[in-house]
Amino acid sequence: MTGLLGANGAGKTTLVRLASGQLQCRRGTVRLDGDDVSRLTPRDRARRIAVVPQETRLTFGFDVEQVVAMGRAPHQGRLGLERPEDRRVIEESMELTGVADLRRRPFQQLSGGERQRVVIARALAQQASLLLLDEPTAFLDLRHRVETYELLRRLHRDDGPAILLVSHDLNMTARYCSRLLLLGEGRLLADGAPGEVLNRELIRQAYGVDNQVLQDPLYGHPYVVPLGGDDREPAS
Amino acid sequence: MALPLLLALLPISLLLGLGIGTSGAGWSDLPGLWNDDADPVVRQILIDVRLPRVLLAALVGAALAAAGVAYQGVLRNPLADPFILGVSGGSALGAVLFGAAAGATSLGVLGRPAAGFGGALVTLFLLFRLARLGGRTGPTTLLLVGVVLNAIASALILFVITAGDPARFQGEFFYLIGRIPPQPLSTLLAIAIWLALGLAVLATQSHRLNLLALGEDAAGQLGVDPERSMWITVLAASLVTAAAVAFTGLVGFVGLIVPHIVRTLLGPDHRILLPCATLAGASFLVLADSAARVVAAPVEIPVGVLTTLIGGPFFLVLFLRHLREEGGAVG
Repeated sequence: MTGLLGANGAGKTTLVRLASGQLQCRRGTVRLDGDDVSRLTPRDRARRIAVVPQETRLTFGFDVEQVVAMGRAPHQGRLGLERPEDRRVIEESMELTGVADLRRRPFQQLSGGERQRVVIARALAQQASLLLLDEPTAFLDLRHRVETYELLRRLHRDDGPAILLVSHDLNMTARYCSRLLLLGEGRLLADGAPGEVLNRELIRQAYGVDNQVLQDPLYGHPYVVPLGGDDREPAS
Repeated sequence: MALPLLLALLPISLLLGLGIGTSGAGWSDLPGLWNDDADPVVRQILIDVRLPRVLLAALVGAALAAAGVAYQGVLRNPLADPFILGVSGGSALGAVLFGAAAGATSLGVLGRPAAGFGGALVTLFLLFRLARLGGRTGPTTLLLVGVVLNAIASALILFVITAGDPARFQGEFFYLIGRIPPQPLSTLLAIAIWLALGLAVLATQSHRLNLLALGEDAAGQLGVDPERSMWITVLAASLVTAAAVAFTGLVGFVGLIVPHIVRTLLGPDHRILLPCATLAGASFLVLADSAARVVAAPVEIPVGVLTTLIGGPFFLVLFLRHLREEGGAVG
């Protein structure tokens, strides 16, 4: 599970769109297991890369099960007729994400956190080897944010797909990701374990904010505290 | 489950429509129609006048409902409808212009729908260009532009009819509100072929319309080429609309009412919605046209009067609900 960090405009979302093949590189190539992503057909790409956006707005009252089943499209024929294999994967994806009980509920009526779990279930149903998430918790409250990160870690641990997670949340990614990438100044500033990437100088470079990196007292991961420009001195 | 029910409803509606009318002929005449002692006048009313009319209503209703489903799916807007988007108006104008140029020749069977399709394409081009000029295209902008295009097309139709040869356009005024005139078998056949062609194409896109409901980006990430799918759907829907409108005029709101009701009952899956709404649309217009024949008896009113009187308020209710859900944002 890898976290992709960087300030607004640093190119995180662009990178995701390049990786998902929705943008073409002007220079260089994006490779997935050695294959040039831009050369894959949309269908092949969808079988190998699944994307979870910040927010999903759905028209019409599709229910949860129908939305998860849409993840099977890249494996199905034109009409999306369901085979036993599809059914098995759909059920499994709903179980893993804990949305099986919501299956008959209209997607639009769900809370933000529930929706995001459904969208992750849909992405899992694609059976891709790479799961790209673009700030999946941006609109979620604390509880749903924690739940989403826990879910991703569990999925990843249980033989799930590789996960690339774009985030603004330095401390959550430090806690849940084993590797962090930091974008800034138009390039990759750092790539490594949270302890290597999250240091005062690099964060200042990437975000232009003075800060102090402490250690989380409970979990032991690096904990970034941004410093204010005001006259109040930190308490310690 | 729903499909067989709707399949059964269609012949029932057709039979019902066959028996309803202002002239004396009715259901009681149907069983003995081919007996030697049958009244030839009754037979003529039922077979030569009412049967083609009932069949035409079924074809047009099916076409407009299918087109409604398609436009709503592509635009991700449950308020879209061939009439409201102005596509019906454009098609009608094309068909009337063909009529003005070629007269009532036998060419009309093919020419009117073809010219109508041309009119639909011009309207669609204007619709998307104009709606996009205002920056980001909101769902309401598109409808507003469509309604205005429809008004312009109606005015142009009226211009062509009034300025043209009065003998040639007798009774064509009703074209503006839509009516189901008796048509020869060749016309029915032509419409049926256009309709079948359009429906076959739409069927291939039905699952993709489901995926498009997630948004163009998400559909693309699921392996769909959104642009391509949208164009295929819009073209097929316009073809079907043109075929429906060419001989009957601007029968409004069928593509709004029928898909909405079917979607409420059967859910949003376009693979079910498309065939079911198509069948329901056929029955709906047959029954509506039957009602239009007797509601103001002994005078028949054009069926478009009825569909608009039902559909207009229907649209307003949906529109207001839509605005409330969107938090009053008109975009």
